[in-house]
Amino acid sequence: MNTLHDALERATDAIEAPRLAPAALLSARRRRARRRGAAAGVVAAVAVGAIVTATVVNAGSGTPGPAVPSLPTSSQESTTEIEPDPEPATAPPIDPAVVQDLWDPATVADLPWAEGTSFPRSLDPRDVAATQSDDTPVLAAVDDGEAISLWHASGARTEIDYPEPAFNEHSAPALSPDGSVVAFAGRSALWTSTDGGEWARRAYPDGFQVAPDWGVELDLDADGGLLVGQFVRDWRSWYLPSGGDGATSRLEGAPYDLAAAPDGALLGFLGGPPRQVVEFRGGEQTSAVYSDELQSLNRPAATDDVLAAVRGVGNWTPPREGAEENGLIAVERDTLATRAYLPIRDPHDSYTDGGTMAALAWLDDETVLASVILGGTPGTQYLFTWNVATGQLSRVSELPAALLLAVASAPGE
Amino acid sequence: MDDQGFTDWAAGAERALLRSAYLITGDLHRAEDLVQEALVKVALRWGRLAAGNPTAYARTIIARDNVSWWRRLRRETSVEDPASDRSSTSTDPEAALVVRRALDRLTPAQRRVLVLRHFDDLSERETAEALGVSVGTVKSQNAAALARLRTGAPELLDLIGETR
Repeated sequence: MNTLHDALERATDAIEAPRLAPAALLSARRRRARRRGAAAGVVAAVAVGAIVTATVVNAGSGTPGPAVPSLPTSSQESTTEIEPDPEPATAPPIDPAVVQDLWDPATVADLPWAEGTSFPRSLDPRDVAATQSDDTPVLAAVDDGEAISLWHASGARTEIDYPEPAFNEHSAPALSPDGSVVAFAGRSALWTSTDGGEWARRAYPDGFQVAPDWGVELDLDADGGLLVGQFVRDWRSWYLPSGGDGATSRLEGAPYDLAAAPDGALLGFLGGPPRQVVEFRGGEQTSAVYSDELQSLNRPAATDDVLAAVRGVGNWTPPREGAEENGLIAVERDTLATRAYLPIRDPHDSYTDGGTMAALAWLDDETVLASVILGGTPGTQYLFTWNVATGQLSRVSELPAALLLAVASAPGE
Repeated sequence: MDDQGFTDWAAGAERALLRSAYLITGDLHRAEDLVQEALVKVALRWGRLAAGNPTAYARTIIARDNVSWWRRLRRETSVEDPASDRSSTSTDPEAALVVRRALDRLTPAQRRVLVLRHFDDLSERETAEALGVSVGTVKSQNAAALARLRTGAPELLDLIGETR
């Protein structure tokens, strides 16, 4: 301490702690929700309309400002306490030998087009007229705020009308791994449609609430079960078995960023400490692996054997090299041993922390389909492939970032 | 996210961050805005900062965001005299006035360096990292700031004399 320090101390000694943490946490979640929504393709309400706005959501509370809506809910529920594996495995460090060359996602539009994928180069519904029906597997669902477009392996586009207005503009639809089932978060209920048929209604879980600006997190497993996540003051997740049979399970621990694998498992992350990659089936946890060594993982895509995810590192001070950079990672599901790591240039952590990059699916044993948004919500969402064996990157498709996107992780399987 | 970990950290850090931000800006409301934004950015990255030095990261955000704010302010409006701040920032309003007038004699860059070095007690290297400048720049700006205070702020020297 020096005398100038004393003077500066004295000049500020009546400034009290402002207690800004709760508001900061809420703002961070809202911001992340908006970005994550954008990453999935947030529908711009101004542009497309027909969206349940915050005003509508707030109407349920009868008070102005932030509100938490109450929803018609199911009455049948059981609580499933997560009991961690007594001795979970621990992810090993990333082997430097599997770290590939640094890539700048800002150059995604310069990549060569991919060969042999069934995705159209544009997923913008305005570019292709809808057909009445198509029997080929559904690859992707795009919600433009007026209807849900289903993009088929044939290149055709079919449409499904909403069963009711959407819950809000942050809630993306979900596709089952094989693409046959679409899930939609409506204003009063959850809805599923199989093979483009009639919507089936499911009540929201008892006590389901969503904070303002936060979307409904929705996933479908390979058995048609629905995983529904909410955030108010913390994360909560419920599992609704297929067809309304069986009890709704609430998952304590609330794994986030879930990915459905073709074998029926859902994989997600627990923030820890310690961080874990958890797997569960039918609403019950079946395994866990400690993942602190891999640091922050999010936005995953899974097969029966492998998991791809976006990885953020804790050392935010440049320079960073190799595995110290943020990136895309491919790991073995059972051990989390790293199969390949693609470092990316992410000096402001916007792709990783901002939620603008995601792993979407595995197209084959070596090819990850991923996406990145450039230019924010008014910009473009690019789909690209990453060959984990060779490091080769290819451009696949694109759509306006303001649209909501869901991709089938194992179409037709 | 580990909400409790973040809340615990914020409870311990936010008063010092706000005092530092106030000294850098001279505006308590602006300082609160800067700290709020810094806490949001820390919260967004908490999973990765928790094991490191989130306070250093927050300081960097405050210092750099203030640069953006200062540039924008100069383009758009003039600075109001937040005289009413003084009574709420110090138990010694006279000392607060002396310090404020002294700091107002510095350039924004000198002021940031002086606050980080002499209030937050950062090293030259830590100050350079927080501001994104070289150590040499920190040395020269700190020396220039102290020289300007010696010649242009005699009342601050008197105040410092009182504290000895």
